[in-house]
Amino acid sequence: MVKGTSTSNEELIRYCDQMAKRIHETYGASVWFAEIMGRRWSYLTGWNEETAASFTARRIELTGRFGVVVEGWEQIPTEESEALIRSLRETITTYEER
Amino acid sequence: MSENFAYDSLERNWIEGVIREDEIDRYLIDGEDFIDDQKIWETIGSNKDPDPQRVREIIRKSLSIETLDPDETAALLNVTDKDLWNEIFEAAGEVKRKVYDNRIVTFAPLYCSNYCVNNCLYCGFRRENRIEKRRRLTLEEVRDEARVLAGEIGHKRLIAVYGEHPLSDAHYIADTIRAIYDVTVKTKNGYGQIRRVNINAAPMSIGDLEMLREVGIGTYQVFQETYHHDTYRRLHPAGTLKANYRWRLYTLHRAIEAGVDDVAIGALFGLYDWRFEVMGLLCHARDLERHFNGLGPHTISFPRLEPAAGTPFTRKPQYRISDEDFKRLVAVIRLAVPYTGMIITARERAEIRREVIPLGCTQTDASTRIGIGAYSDRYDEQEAERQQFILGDTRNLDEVIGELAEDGYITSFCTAGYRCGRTGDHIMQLLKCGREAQFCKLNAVLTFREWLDDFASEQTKRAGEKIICKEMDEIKGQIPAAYSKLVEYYKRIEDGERDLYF
Repeated sequence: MVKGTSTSNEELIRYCDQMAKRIHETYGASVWFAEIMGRRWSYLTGWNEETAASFTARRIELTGRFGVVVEGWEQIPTEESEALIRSLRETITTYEER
Repeated sequence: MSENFAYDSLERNWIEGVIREDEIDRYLIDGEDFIDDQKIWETIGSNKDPDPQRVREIIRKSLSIETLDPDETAALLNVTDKDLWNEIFEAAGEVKRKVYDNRIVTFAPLYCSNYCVNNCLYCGFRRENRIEKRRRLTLEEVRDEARVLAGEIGHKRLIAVYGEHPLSDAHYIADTIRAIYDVTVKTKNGYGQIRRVNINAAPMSIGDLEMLREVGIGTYQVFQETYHHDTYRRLHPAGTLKANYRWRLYTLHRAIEAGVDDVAIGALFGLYDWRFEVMGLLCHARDLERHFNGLGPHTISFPRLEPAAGTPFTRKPQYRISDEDFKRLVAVIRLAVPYTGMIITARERAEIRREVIPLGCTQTDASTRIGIGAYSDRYDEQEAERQQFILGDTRNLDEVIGELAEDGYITSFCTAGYRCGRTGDHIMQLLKCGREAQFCKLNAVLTFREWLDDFASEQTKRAGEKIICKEMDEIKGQIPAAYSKLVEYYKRIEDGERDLYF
């Protein structure tokens, strides 16, 4: 049995999982996604133990509902990081609107 | 369900809608729940007189931070040799230090309402206890309580407590949580806020739990009270909601299914045999892990039954737990589930808390008031008729922190994990690889500095600063990658910034 999410959107979680892996493979950053409820950021998917050496985690709100935490954010070139966040925002918004 | 009690129509209608049989049945295995009383007793019986060598092997397993199985746990429970118990106590402390180092997290309970439709024999809030003064806090009164807790005492983490009643249903609980989170109070050098609200509330449906998840609850705590079916039946009269053993037993399964991934279990020790209850807690933790991909309880509590006004049952309980057995049960729980947080509360006398904390406890409360509205009413004496039970330790947070510092503990007010997605199975992974311990060590220093600057007496401040110096030195050696950032945050906190965390 898998724990529920309030969106019950397994596709979205799959997408986030793939993105977390891709970002890790490309930049070496450790990434996890969370669902935001008030002050709580509830873990959804992602994270990579092997690269978890950085303590400069950045918490980024992607939509009112979802956020991403990146350890090793500084390893991603600025232009690429901006494009990445834009893309994550757009895709997650699309999932939310479905 | 409600035919045996003189409920009014509001209560009757509400009660009829609470329990959903399908939200119990889905977790049963061949129609049975996971507590097999006979099997538990057989397991305890078949592990009597354990060989010391075997006990030491079990201790070694726990020291390598592996969860124990029921046979191993039963073997520990059956130890009779005093020296072997001392080895168990020693190991319990070592396991705690390995996973949680020398940190103790503090919190306070906030009792919001003591109306209750149940009639549990041991509880001061039970419906038929006419001595109890009933009160439900308004949202403004809840904010008043939070202002005292965050602005005068310095707590950052609460557990809000509610009786089971339509006046304190899931909607009221959600409103009170929002009200608590709303409060920001100016302090001596910065500002105070409650950053994490956990709740202790009656079993709910998945729908209600989803609603609570939305408002950002921290941990959802429900104690089974006793895992022993017959005892449960005797203490929770038929015709009440709480009489349904399985509705309660599977509450936390429903919570996780609803996406509330920090859940807390507990038993009220003194209702039945303590060895059985420890096995029950272990079975509960294992069943959660089995259902939810390794996700077990965030914390385990082990309150002892205390006297309560108008509650004769509490005066001479058949299964009263001696202090010695209390220490034993705490140590065995620590060894059986090495990753899980363990909570000792102000139910216990100060001297017992001091003896038991080294056996593996990770959280405790202080400046505790359990009367409804007691923090903002500012009464210091205990008033039995508006409390669920009588507290054993009413010392203020400053005194408790001072004593902990003397004993080498750093008090942590960290609430960072659940605000950056370190929850549920993620935090379990982080605990297992030691990563969470690093975050906690850093955040303990930062939050302790905040508290010392805003709330500590001079004496406690001096004791606390000694601990901080030691921690900073350790961090420099153990987590060099984080040190410069820690120093930067630390200075900013000294300059009045608040809530900086890793």
